[in-house]
Amino acid sequence: MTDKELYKATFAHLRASGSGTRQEERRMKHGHIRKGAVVAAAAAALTVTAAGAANVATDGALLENIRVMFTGEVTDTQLNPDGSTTYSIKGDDGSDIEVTLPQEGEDGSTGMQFSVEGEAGTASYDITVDEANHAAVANRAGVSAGTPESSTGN
Amino acid sequence: MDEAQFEEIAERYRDNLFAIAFQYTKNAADADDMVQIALLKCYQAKKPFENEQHIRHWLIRVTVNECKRYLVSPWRRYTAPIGDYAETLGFENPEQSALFFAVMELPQKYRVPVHLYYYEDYSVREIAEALGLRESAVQTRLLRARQKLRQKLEGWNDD
Repeated sequence: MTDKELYKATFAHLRASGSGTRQEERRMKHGHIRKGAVVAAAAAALTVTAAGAANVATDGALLENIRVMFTGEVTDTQLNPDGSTTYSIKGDDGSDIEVTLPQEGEDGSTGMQFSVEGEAGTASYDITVDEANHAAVANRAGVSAGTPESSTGN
Repeated sequence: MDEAQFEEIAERYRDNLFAIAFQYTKNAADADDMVQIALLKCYQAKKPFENEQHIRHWLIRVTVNECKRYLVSPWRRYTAPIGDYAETLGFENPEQSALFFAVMELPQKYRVPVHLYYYEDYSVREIAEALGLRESAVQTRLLRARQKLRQKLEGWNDD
């Protein structure tokens, strides 16, 4: 095996989140979330990332598994008295959506972590919530596994 | 670019971009962020891509630029222990593991050219363009990186 072949074989093990097998190995719970919430959360998170503050808002976890994204535009951002941030989103279908992301914890994380599966044209997506963070997601994001009424709009 | 095209591009290049970003960040979470930003920019780019190579070079360049920005960002995470991450990678043999650690111990200015050369099959000229360096500087870095790898790895032959 040449050096180049060895190098490629070695670094082919590196996988981004959302691809490869590492994600499948996690303990997961399945739930359901409305499309609007997913789009809004994704768009909000991405916008925050672009502003250089995603690590504070979500500790990167929110971005980690979102595959359906880039389909909404954040029209307004409001910092709430309790430290949470509300994002107003214009969905790709013209719907107005609001999503509130919690204030980050002392360690800079919110514990939000979920993945999305589904087609952009569908009204809802099946989501998978990391079991360890399930409570945090339900409480903080207003996203409840098994409860589709989680966000306004759409 | 429609969503289907974007999904295909993201699937095809996500891991490659992640591996490049990891050379800068040595941190999987931050590398993921760099990839997300690069893909977002790709989706938002209005310019038409001429072919696959154009997309690939463009994505790599954007990822490199985002990583450079990351390195001076106040949001930069502390580097996680590389050993913990390596354990999740499932290397097939000790040679792979040794090479991974040897590369990670290289200075970052050597790691990235090495990765582009050995993994992405970039030429010296392409590496120079992607990193904004002179070709002579890239050649020097590759030379020194190989010397260091040879010192650390048995069987590294520069082939």
